[in-house]
Amino acid sequence: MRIKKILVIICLMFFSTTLYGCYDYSEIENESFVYSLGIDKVNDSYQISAETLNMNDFGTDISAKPKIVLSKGDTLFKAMDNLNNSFYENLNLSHCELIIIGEDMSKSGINDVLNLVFEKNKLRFNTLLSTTVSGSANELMNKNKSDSLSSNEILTTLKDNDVFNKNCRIYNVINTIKNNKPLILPAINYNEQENNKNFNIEKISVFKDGMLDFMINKEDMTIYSFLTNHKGIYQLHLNNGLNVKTQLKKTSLNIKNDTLIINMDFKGYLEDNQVKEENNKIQSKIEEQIQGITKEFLNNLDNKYAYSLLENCDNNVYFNIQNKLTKKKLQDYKQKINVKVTLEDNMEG
Amino acid sequence: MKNTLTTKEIICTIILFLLGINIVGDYKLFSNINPSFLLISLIILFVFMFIEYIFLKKFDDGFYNTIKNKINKPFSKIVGVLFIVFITLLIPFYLKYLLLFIKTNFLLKTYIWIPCVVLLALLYFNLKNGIVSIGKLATFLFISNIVIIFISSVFAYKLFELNNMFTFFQNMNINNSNLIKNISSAFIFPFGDIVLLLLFSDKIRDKRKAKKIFVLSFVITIILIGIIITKNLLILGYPLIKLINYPSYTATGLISIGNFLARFEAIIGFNLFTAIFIKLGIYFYCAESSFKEIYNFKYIRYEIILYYILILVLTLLLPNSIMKLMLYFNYVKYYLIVFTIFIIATAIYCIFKEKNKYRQNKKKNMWYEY
Repeated sequence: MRIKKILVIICLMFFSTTLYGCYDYSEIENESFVYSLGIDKVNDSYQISAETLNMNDFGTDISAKPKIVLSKGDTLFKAMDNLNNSFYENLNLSHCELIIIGEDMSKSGINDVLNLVFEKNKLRFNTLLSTTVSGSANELMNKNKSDSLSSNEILTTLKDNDVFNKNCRIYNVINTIKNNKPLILPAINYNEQENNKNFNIEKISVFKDGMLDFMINKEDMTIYSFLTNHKGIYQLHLNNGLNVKTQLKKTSLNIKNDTLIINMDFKGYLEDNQVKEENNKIQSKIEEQIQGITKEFLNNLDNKYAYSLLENCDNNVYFNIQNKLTKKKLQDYKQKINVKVTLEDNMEG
Repeated sequence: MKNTLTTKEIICTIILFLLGINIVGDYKLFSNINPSFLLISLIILFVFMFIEYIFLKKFDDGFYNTIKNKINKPFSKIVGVLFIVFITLLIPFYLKYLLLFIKTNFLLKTYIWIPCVVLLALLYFNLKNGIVSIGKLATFLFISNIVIIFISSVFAYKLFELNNMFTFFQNMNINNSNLIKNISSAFIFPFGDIVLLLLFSDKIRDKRKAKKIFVLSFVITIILIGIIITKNLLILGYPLIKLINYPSYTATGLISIGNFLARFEAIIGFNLFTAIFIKLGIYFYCAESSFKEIYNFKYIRYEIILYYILILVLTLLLPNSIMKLMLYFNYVKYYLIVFTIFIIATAIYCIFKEKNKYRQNKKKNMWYEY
């Protein structure tokens, strides 16, 4: 009998959470799902662009096309309220996976955007943040001429990138800012000429204290990924007719007697060898090239950030380098870059 | 043997009682500033549990009867009144915490009094059969809680970031100006209310297993809280974990199993609901036994409904935000601290008196032997 009573109580507990849901009852057709938000600052006021689907029901035919809804306000929360009012249905942010921040907004600081995530509990903490290369987020979102959502394309690009897939999630962004570390976010641009992939990462935005400070070029992005031990496949053009794909196995950084020792281990795969070069020579060519670009990258990096940018890397590198970087400038250290390449027949991924 | 709890039931009850709102891993509950206060809270829990273990081993009559025997009857009534005040200050706090969790995450438009009335009614009907139903319920709910904690931790492994742990330990130095304020918070929160278990001393069926009960419940609670906090820390990172209200809920919301199963943070809601339900059940049971002591009742049936109504009113009067709720806690915490010390001191006094009596008896026996 007691067991029956207990079971009844458990059932009641389950049901008690659902029985009084009538006030929050809402059918799915009464919800307007927002898939991405673009946030800009225009003349001291805030502008939010929300990407949603425009649903049209023609009898048996249902067409859904992306639509950008614009709202403005003196504060970000006011703009959000106005956005809410501009929808006939309930604004639903639970599927919003991307927030694009315009150039002006990035320069004035992204803390307001982070506050929005804290307050609007439907926005998730793993939403991806990105910036624009130049111009506003609204301009970037309106450039999409295809019938698919621009947020889907951008999300695919970001999720494929090992560096940004984790670093630009909001929970990591908040920790990075709170720990006074430089924040890196992808800068997205629209480029029609690439094969179908219209939105791509053109630059890296580096933030300090939550404000955009400078941008790193896309070319430097590869070597930055090598240094911070983010694995991925990279294409190297050695000569005419000699193309190689390289894949990072592991990077380890260490500091001994004022020398920054960088060991990089690569797998290589010959894509094109029209000049029929010997494998040993190809290996040494790749090694030389990677050594060269790494040195160039380290020397050209802004002194203020080179130091802490290296801390913005995965666990393996972080533990080696943390607390050992005592000098203020990275250029004050002697550099020893060891690159090892093994040519293989097949490439993973 | 009737109306007593088996070893298994009491272990599950103590664990769920201690987990309470810690099940959402809310960092603010441990400390506002520093991770070190988490350790202070655990040390205090250990000391309290140790004293309660000795008390339980020495006395069979229950807390109030022991005080009557060792001190006097009026004192036991004063202790009863103080217990009632202690419980009346804390029940609305926990209840409001749960209601705010439901309000902010699930039922945004529903009036807060509706779930409050439902919960209090559930507690009333559950406690009608005495503490046994709470014990039985705890054994069921304990398993579901373990399963949920396990699922939410195992499937989150992809999101774990070891750097977060490193930053956490870097912040473990106590050098802030509000040291006394924070230590006093850590003293009572979140484990200080373990003193209520003193009122359970006559509800354990097998006293010989008292050691097992306390060791197991202490160890399992620490392991579970350790898992919850470590998981939240590895996913969310140190500064963020203390900025958000329900870290476990947020962290579980980030987990996705493959591409098809995501956003199952609602299960944490069930966890919190069950743990606070057991906690409140024990609070109401203790309130009931204190009322019995004060008014010399043998049974309480419908009279206690008045107390439930008082709790309902107090809960609705409390502020509607977690931060303001913490302010309320700061106002009342000094009473809670003084009361806790007073009760622990009373328990220690009784233990010493019993020990002296035992020594005197031993001396007498020796004299007779001669």
